[in-house]
Amino acid sequence: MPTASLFEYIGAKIEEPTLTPEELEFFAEHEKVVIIPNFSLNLPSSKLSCVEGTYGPFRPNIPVDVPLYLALALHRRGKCRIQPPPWMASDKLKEVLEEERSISQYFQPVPQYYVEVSKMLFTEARAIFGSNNDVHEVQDLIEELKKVRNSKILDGLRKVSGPITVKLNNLSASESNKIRLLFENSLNMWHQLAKNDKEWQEGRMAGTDTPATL
Amino acid sequence: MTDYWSLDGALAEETIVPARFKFGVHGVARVLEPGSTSNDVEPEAKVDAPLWLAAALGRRSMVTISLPETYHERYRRRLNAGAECINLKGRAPYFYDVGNKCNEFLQDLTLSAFLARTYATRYRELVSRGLSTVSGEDMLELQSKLSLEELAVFEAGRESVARAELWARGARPRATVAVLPTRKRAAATRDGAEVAGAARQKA
Repeated sequence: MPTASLFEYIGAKIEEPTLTPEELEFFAEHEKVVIIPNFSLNLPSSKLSCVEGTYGPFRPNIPVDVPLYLALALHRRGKCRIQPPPWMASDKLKEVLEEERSISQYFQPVPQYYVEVSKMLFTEARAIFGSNNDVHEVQDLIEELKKVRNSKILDGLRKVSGPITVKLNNLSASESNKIRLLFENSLNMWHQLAKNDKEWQEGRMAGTDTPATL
Repeated sequence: MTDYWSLDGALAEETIVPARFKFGVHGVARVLEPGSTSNDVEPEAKVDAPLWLAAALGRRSMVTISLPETYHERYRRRLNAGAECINLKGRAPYFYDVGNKCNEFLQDLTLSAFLARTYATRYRELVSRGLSTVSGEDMLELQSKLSLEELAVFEAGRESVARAELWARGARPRATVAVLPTRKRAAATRDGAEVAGAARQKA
């Protein structure tokens, strides 16, 4: 069996990463948030039909579940008030941060797009969190969470020493995107290096010494 | 075999491998060894050949291949002692690839274990430096020591993290500015017009 060179993989690496952070932001915009509209939609049953689903009914002061892109669009036009998602309450975040710091083997469950959603809410809709202090508090907590998880990820990656499986559960989308290229390709390298070993050991045991082919 | 068009593959196979010719070869001695006295290669002569040539001949059992120097005992000992400090880029930029290829012929089990072990130690350094964007001196120092395969992995990691941070800051990735050909053409016509005008004035 010819051993393919490692260079099949290297060629693929140097291109652009397959998923850009901007694309991840696009996916994150489909997460649902609760808004309180201040208008009433002039359509039958007040529902808004979008390509991907119907949202509504939009009546003033009645909370409604919409995807984030719609919420932000309405917010820009001053037509609604966005409620911060429940996982973004500062005490909730503090809890998760504590757990994250104390248990170092695995990660806490976080919303899949927490980085993107928090970034978008901070840039577009700062007022929803309350006073300035609150905003800073939540922002700092999320930054801390990102840092702690990041260092955990690096620790886990460092322990890889062969083509084994590594337990990296509960990673958010942006974190897994960051390590995707590096991790995938280094695992490929490991497999290449280990492939030789296994094949010959089996070849030797079976007693057939296959002549080397290209 | 692998991708015929792969540039890295072709470059990797340029590495010199010591080979011993079983049979004599006419007329190519000058090519393989610029300082040789005769035109022919004697049978049982030791000649340094590029990997692509040695591998092709080895398949037809016309040569016996031995390992290049970087995989010999002395280097193995050094690498086993301190793998991350050795400069692979200068000595053997395609370290793993050539090692793997040679292993097909020699079937040396210790070699692949040795390669895996070096990769393991160097990989740890790679990861810790590769996923942070602080480009300090030590990162540059590490980069100059990586073999080309490791370098690609390193760059890939750094690139994705840099992209993510750029996005988090709200910035857009800078598009590469292409040289605008229209300006040159306009300048050319301007010059041409001037020359034509001057010529007309003279005439």
